[in-house]
Amino acid sequence: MSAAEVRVPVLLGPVPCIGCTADTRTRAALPVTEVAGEARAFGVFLPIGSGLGWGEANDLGISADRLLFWTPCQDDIRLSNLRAHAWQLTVPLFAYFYDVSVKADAATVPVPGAACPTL
Amino acid sequence: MTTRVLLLLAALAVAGCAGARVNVTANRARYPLSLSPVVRDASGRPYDARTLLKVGWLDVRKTTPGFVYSALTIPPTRDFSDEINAQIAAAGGEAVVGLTISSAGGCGWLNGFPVLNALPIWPGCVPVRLTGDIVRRRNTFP
Repeated sequence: MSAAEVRVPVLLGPVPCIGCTADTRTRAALPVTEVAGEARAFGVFLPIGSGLGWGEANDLGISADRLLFWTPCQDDIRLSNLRAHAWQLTVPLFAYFYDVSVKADAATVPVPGAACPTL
Repeated sequence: MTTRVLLLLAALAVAGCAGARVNVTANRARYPLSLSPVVRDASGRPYDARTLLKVGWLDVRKTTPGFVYSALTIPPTRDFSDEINAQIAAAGGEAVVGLTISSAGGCGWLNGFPVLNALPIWPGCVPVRLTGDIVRRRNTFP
C-alpha cells in the first residue's frame, strides 16, 4: 500500500507534522473509508485437459491513490486500523490459492492554517 | 478414470491452508510518517520533493506467525515504532515520505506447505515490510 500520487500528507502514527509532538492536532470525526492493496492468485499444479498449471497475482482493492487523490489540499489524511493478511490454500498436486492484503481505514483531518502545495 | 477420482479425493483429504493476520501500528513514532510524498511543518506549510532532502532509506521488516488456519496470530499487533525511530534518528531525518506498507514474499512456502498445512497447529505467517524515504527540510540542513 502506498499513496505516491496523493498531494496531501497521508499519515500513519501519532505525529502529524515536522516539529510537532504526538496528536498536536485534534482528530475530526469525519467519515472513514477503507483503502486496500491486495493480490490474489490461483494456480493449478497438474495438467488439466491440455493445459499446464499457472498462477498470476493481480492488484485488487481500493488503492489509496485512487480513493484519496481528490482530497482537499488543506486537509491531511490519517490512517488507522492498519492490518496485513497473508493466507494460502493448497490442494496437494492439484491447485493453490493465495491472498495477500494490506488494508487500513482512512479519515480526512482539516489542518488549521494549512497551505496548499505550489504547482 | 477411477484412479483420477481417487487421486483427487486423496488430495482433497489432505488439502489445507495456513497464514496469519496482524495489526500494524507505529503508535510511539516520534516523527511524521507519510505514505504520500508530502509532509507539513507545524505551521501547516507542505513540503515535497522540491523542498525536502533525502537523507536515508527506511526499511523495517517483521514476520508474525499464525496458527489455526490464520485465526490465531501471536502477537496480534506489531508495533514498528522503535525501529522507525532508530533509523530516522541515525540518518538525521525529520520525517518519512513515500512510506510503503507491503506484505509479500517469504511466507509462501510455509503457508502453502503441502499436507502439513492441513493441521491446525501448522504455523503460517505474514511478512510486513515498511519502506520509505527518510527526509529533512532543505532549509534546515546543518
